[in-house]
Amino acid sequence: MSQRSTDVLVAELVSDLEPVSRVPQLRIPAFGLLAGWMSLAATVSIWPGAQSVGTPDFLPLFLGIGVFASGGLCSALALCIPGRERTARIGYALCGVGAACVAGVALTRHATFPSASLSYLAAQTMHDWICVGLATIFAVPFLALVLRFGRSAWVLRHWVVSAYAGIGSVSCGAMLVHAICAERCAEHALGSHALAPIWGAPLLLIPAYLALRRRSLLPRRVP
Amino acid sequence: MRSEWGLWMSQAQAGDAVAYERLLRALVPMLERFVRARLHDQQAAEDVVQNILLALHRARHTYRPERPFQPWIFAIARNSVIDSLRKQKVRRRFEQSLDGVPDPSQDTPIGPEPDSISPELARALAQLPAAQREAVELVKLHGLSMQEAAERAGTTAGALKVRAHRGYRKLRGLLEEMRTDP
Repeated sequence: MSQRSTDVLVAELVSDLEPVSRVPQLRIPAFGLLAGWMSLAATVSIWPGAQSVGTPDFLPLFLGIGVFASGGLCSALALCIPGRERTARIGYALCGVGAACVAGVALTRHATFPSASLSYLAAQTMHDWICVGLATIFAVPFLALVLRFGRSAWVLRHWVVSAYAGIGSVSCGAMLVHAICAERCAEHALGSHALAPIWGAPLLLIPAYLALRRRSLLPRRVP
Repeated sequence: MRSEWGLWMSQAQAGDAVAYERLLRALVPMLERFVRARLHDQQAAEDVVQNILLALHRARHTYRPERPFQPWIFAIARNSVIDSLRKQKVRRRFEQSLDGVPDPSQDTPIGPEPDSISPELARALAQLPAAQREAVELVKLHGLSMQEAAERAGTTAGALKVRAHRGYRKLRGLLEEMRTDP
């Protein structure tokens, strides 16, 4: 390789140049995700037995999961476009705030757990796996939207985007499950709703990664 | 001039080849400085600059004119440098395994020794470009260190490493092809 070969490459790239259509602004997929979440929320609100608002710590957990979800999705979308690291960092911070909120609820409830440990929460989750399963199923449309955007953009770190898209979308699903779940028990809400991304996101990680990697490396040309 | 980069990029997105060429030629010196400050291998630095130009070409639809151009191009450049450093790390680990190979005498003849290698490997070696073949033969068949091999080939150790690495990769592909389709 030499300066001459760089010149040859520049000439080749220039000769290969074709008009391209720009990737949409980040706020467009973000609004899409919000609209998708609201329409799903409207659907599940008419679900029979959707009255879990009276559950202890309903609101802090709901907000915690919501902030965590928006952080994960914000990071995943931002990492699909070069130069948007600042937005991605805001997403990381939101994830931290959401996780801190959930951890705060867990700490205040700590003394009341029959066995206050992660293994207890894991056992609780296995008992109520249906909530985790529902959160993961609800996550699929959100994940599909992020992956669709990622495939049309330029993902620099496929594993990182897949991981954040997975945890963000499962958290979105967990918010809905948290709203409709009839089980009025704080331990269940923590283990099966707030920690749903820990159990559900790994299931989506590899499919998300493979879907992102399958993208065409060439930009979309103007028809 | 830097303020015009964003404009040239948006013109390139619309298919303006003149603006695109102007942009790429203006970027090359800046990218070279950026990469050389992070990589000490001159040959690898030039490869990385070319990879950045290729990535820029493929990712050009992700630039938005209302946003500054430099964070966009530096994000692509930074990621290319990180990828290159990761590859170098793997390559270095691979090259360290040659330390156990006994050091041959200086008068080792240059070129493959037909009796000591399989006909399959000899056939595959013959298909490599001359520079890569020489690098593989000097390092693998004659067991020379990178520095010694580079002196014999009349090049730098960094350039020889790159040639040998590319040679191994191509050789592996050729041998796999031969095994699946004898």
